[in-house]
Amino acid sequence: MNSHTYKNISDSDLLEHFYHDRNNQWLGILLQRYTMLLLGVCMKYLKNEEEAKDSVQQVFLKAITELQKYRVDYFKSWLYMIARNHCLMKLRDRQGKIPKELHDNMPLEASETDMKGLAEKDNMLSLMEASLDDLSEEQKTCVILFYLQKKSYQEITEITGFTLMKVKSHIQNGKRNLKILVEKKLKQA
Amino acid sequence: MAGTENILSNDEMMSNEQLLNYLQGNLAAEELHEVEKQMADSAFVNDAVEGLQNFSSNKKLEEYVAQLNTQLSQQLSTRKQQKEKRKIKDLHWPLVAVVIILLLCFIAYVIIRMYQHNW
Repeated sequence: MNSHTYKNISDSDLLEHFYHDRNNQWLGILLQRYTMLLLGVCMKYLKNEEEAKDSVQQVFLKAITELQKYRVDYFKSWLYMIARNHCLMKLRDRQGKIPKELHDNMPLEASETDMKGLAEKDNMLSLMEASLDDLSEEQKTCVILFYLQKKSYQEITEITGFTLMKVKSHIQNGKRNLKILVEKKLKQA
Repeated sequence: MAGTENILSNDEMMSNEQLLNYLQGNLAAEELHEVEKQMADSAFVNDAVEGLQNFSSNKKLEEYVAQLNTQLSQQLSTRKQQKEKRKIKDLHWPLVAVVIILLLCFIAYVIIRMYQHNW
């Protein structure tokens, strides 16, 4: 089966096809979509090209085995979780403990659907504009520069003088806080 | 404020080409923003890009991806063959059992008929 032929089929549809006829080739198409991303994730944590490559293979194996056992709804987040856990285990074996840098608070995609739903609501835009002012000055600046003025990470670091890590963190936390603020205001309305 | 709706919306997954071009710094401003927006929206994409930036060369990275994809396809087709073999193997014993049961039924029928004749 050629992956390009199935470019327009969503992940969940591919999974549905697999659950319907149990043909492993559907899993092949699905997993191949994430090979490069998985390689990147494993490389980020393991910092070794060969080890990262081996880990992706093991993640594939684990994913195939698990998908045959139970149904998965949020495939992308689930696969990321498997890869991250695998790398954490490897690091634990290697160092005897988990390094601090892995305890990040970046959001998983499980909440993406809610956000999409939120974005469609009529009064969202005015609520978001109002909520932007409630963010901290740094977060507000980074969110506006990134989402509204479509500046790149690099440009934002130059404009604000923040480090790249700080810029990323302000954007991610700003977005998360904005979502919380909007949800709060929606409940009050 | 124009563009506010972009903040909480999420776009489709990017392609490998787009990712490689981002790593090489070959993307136009708009596409570059799309990639970074996905990084901001998804910890998976963010971690991946940060890891991919650590590869010694993009050529090597592409080679690894190609190798992994080939191995995955091979693995899945071997699994399929094994599954089919197992299916035939699994079918073997129930088939033998059915034949034995049918044979026993036939023998029982013949014996009963013979007794009836003798009476």
